[in-house]
Amino acid sequence: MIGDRRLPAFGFAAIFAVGLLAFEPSAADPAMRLDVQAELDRRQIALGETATLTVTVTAQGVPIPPVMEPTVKGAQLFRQGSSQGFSWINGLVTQTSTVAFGVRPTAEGDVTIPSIRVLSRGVVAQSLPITLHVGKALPAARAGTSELFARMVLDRSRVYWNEGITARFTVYSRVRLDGVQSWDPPDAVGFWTEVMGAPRSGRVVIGGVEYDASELRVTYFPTRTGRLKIGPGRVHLRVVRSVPQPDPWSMLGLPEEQIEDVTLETGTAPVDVLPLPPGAPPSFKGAVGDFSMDVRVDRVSIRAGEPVTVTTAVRGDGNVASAGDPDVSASVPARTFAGGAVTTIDRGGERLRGERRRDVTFIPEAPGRMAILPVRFSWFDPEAKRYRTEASDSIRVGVQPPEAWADSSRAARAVGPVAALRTKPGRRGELTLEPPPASSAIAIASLLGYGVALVGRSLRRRTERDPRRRRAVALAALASGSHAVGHEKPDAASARLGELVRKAVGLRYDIDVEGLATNDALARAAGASDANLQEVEHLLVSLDRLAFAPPGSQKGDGGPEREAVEQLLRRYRKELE
Amino acid sequence: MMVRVRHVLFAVGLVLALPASVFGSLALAAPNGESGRTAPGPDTTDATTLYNAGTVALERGALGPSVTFLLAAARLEPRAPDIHANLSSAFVAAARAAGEEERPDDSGAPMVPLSSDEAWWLASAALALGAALGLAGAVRGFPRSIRWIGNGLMIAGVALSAGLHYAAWEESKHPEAVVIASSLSVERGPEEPSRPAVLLSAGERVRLGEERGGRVEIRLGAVRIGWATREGLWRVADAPRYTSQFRPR
Repeated sequence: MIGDRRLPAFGFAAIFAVGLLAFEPSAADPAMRLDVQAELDRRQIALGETATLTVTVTAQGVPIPPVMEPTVKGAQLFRQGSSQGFSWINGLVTQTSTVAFGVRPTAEGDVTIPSIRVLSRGVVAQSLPITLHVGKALPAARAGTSELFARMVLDRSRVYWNEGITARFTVYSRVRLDGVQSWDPPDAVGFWTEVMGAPRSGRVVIGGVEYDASELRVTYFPTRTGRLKIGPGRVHLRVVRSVPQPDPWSMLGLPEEQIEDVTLETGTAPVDVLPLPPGAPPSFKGAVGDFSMDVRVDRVSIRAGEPVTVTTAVRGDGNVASAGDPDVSASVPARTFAGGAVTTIDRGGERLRGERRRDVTFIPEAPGRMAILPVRFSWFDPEAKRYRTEASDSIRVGVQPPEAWADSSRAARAVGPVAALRTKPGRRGELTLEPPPASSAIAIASLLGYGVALVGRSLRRRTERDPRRRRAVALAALASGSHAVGHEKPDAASARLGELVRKAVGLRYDIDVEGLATNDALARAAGASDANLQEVEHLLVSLDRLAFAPPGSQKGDGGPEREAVEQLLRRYRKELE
Repeated sequence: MMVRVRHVLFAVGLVLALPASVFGSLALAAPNGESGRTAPGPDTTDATTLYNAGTVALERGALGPSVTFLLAAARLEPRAPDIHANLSSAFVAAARAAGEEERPDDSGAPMVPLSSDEAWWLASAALALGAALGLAGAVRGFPRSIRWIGNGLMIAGVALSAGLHYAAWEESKHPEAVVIASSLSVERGPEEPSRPAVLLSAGERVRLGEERGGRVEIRLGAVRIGWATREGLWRVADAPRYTSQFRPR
């Protein structure tokens, strides 16, 4: 069965191979064609900007030639990249090569991209010349182009302290933008900032050119005087760029779109902030603008121990958040509770408006007549350049006696002092948490002493590790042992002194004398002079004679020998130190 | 290794100890230029004066001043039971005035019942004893256990000194204060995003930051919560200035 199927398969393969050979480019009769096209991504730019020149060479039947960088007067060219394509349609092979150059003009005026000429196997092609118009750089747009830039405009540059300035941050665009731009909070040190709602969009004409514009309005209130600065503002955009297809045969030759993230920056603007003039009324608390005040009470008749709430509302153009609340007081003693101010801001208009509302509650303890005294509110009017004051009428509130079941729980629950007043003076001191100077001095002295101790301990340890020093210390110990020998009997003392001398020789010349005969030990004492060795040998003989003399034959108490031993030890110790 | 540790300990201790006395109040001066510790005498105050003023203020229902005076008194006599009793009572009264029915968690009692001076002297004593043991050990070799005791005292002294330095720095940079206004609105400051105002009531303890144009930055612990008018707050360290308003009759 398998052998039956192989035959048609070989036949099909043979036909396909013949077909391939028949339609192979070299076997066909190709139409030799060479084409070159040059394109600029835009025809008008500002000085300092860069345009992109795309050169596309299409070849049929001839090898694709290289594209050389053209010489352009009045501009610098630099190669940005290249790509190649290949297509085979109806037996015709087409090759394309695309090279992109950056064009950066060096002067204003028109820059002409000359014809670009290519040659392959005698076939010549050349592109058409292109003109690029180079204009002035836009001064107010930074990091932008004539197609896309951002600007900031202030409605005034000289204001009073806490007077509002409106800044308009605008993006002008002639390119496609993707999504909504986002503004960073514009830099404004020394200002209270209020953003006036979402950006507004529209179309504007600048210099005869129509732009899409998106404007963000921000109101600034200076919080200090002097020369301040607003800006720069920064906006983040997503720009849709069309990129020509290098291969005209792919994707039906439609340009490809790329999204590019762009950040634009506006300029900055100085603002002179003037101090408010002197002579502010006592009720002035910092409001600057155009305001009005309203005062209301929630009831005009209450019982003692019941609350009456006075609501003050300050509204108008300006920074109501920093306008302050008018003082509210009553004509009779009453417990007072002041609530927090509630500020409502309207950012929809051309100027910032708002309302500041606050409740003050009074609880009179005794019946009678109570009056809410006139409430005064002052502000500075920058248009009229003077202070204005608005005062309310006094409001009378009738206070009835409390009902028998009235809840005076707050008074009953009042918590007073638990412990009585003192009569004896207490401890004196300062309320700061800083150290007493004497304790600091002790601390420093202690730390310095500890440092000295560290150094001393380090030196001591180093000394103890020195072998000569250790031997000298051991010799000192032997010397103190020789003093103790003086109380013993002469024979025993002489035996001990002999042993001390042997050990001293061992320590002095750094030899192990343990188990060695005297002659052997002395023979190992390298560096010892003959006189010294003879002295030691003589001393040891004398001591042996005293130690091992028969009882009753001793000729002395061993005093000279002990003195000789002590002298020897002293000398050895001195030699080691 | 141990030698290096001791050297580091010595260097850290020296750095901690130097600013307090060598540079004096310069290093720990308050940001507004007010010197911290000056010559003893006029700046020292009596705990009884503060305690009595706090007690009188509590009798009059002035909760903010009462808390301020009693906190100041507790700085001088941290173990006095009468100060703590009235301070706790002032906190309860302040909480009730603010509409809180529950007993406040903050009784005003310090974590360590030591005044600032006592703590400083304790640190100095630990350092002195540690140094004495170290010196004696250098002159005449001590057993290892004695040496460890000396090093332990040095470590304890340096650690305590570091903690006290931090507390002093925090007090000079962000002094402790008490709300004395019946209600203090803490609002957002310039160049700050919108947020609702925080309402503080009399007797609440806060810390102050920088001042701008009659307003002061309010902090709860290490968190900035906004700005309020300076008139509604008393610094605990300034309490002696106001005692004349609350003298016992």
